[in-house]
Amino acid sequence: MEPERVLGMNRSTLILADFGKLADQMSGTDPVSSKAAKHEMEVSTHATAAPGQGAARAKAAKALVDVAKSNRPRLVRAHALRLIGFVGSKADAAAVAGLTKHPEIGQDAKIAIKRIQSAK
Amino acid sequence: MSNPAKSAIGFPTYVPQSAFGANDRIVYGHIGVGGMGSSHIVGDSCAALCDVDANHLASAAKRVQGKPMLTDDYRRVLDRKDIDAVTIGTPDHWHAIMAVHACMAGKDVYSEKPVCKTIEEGLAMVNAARRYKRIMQIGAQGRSNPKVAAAANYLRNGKAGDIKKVVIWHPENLSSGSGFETPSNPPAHMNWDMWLGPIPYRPYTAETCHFHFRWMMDSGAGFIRDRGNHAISCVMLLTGQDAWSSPVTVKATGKTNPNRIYDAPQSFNVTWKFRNPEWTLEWNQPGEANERLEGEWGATYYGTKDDLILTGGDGGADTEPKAIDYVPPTGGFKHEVEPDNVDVTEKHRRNWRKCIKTRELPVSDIGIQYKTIILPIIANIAYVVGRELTFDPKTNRFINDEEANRFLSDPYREPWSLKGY
Repeated sequence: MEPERVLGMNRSTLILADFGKLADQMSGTDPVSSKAAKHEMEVSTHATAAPGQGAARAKAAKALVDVAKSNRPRLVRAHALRLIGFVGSKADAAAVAGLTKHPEIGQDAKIAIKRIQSAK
Repeated sequence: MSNPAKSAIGFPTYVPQSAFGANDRIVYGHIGVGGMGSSHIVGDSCAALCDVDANHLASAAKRVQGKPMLTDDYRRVLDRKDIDAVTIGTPDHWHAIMAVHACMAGKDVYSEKPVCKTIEEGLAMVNAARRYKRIMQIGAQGRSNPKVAAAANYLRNGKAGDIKKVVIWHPENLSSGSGFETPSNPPAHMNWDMWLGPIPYRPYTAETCHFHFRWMMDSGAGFIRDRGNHAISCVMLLTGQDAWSSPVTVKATGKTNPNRIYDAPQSFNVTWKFRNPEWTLEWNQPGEANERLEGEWGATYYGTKDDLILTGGDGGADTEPKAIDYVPPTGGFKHEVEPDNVDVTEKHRRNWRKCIKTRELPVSDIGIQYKTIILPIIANIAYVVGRELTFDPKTNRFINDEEANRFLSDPYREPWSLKGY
């Protein structure tokens, strides 16, 4: 079993994950390793969005935009777009706007942008 | 108008819908007819059956008199002017969209639990039911269970004093073991794109489709929101907190199974802390049954004078003799359930049918059940973001957490929208 999901509460010093490396791991053929990478991307992303983590959050969003715009597999890019929706800024929404007409991840890009636009 | 509920007292028989008489007959459309959805079919008054799995449709059609319309698109059911009411027994991610659209189309609704996926969806369901003056019963049938009613009567009349803590125990999600199924083309009998509907694309696998969709966050979100709808619905009834209105703090931890595809936590522990009045609710998955009254799942209610156990809380439930034997005082609290001698789920459906005719709020009205489903929804959000959160039910938002508020809605794949179809 993987560690309990208490990262945001337990990490006193936030260590920003290497999202590119995790995206590569998620792209691999070993489903256990792929799932672990997907999980770590998610946990790390949300940890950066805890109140008071502004700089780390912006860095995470930028790294996720790079993954979304890469040539990695569909589900990896879609996962990055989902996470961008939670931590991204209006600038990040603009950065992925060009993906909205993509035949595979266009809907994921639109969902990310809608979620960012819903933020108050 | 005849009252079939009262006329059937003492007779353990199902009163067919046609017994209402031709002028009072309710014509149904049934949407989602596999699993629990299949139990809601009214064979002699059904005009349409809808399911994205043609095998489900074929099986359901055998139970219906005449030739109902068969479709994999619920919108065709809602377009039918001769249909008065719909039942919704689909996976979770369709409940709100279908229920809201059904209200817009002038249909009364019986929608399975869990109510919905998000806060936005729950509010939309309440607003649609009220705006379009529709009866919307949620399939949290514990509120039609005589054992649940007995426990509610015992506690709500103060026999245990003030309830300070409720502890729910429940087994882990059914996501153990190991192995990842290789995605494949959907089977020919399955409209996979329509099954996904509003949620982001994922490739078809049997292990994330029928029944097991529950262990995926996008389509189910685990037992906490599934059985949790039943369990917490009972908690709010028994504690008298249906109208809770002060901010609640929630903390959640869990573990997923790294060797299966499922992303809902297999084990899950949640604590909610309420104010005005102060009390605590715990969800322990897994948890230990209270030795005084064992059951697969249930809750112990700890009061200042006594405690009480309720096991189950859906169609099945049990409680202790002191509650079963308790007679509420004249003028005291008494939770009423339909008197017919039929199983609990049928009592629940009869309550809905009765309310369709009387236009009264049903026993598990969407307004009550929205307040219930808030609690598992925010627990899952607290788990995902990995921090304690405080939710204000007056504003329907988290306090001081911008990211958590981005979980209040889940934007849909096009063309799906809560605004209409």
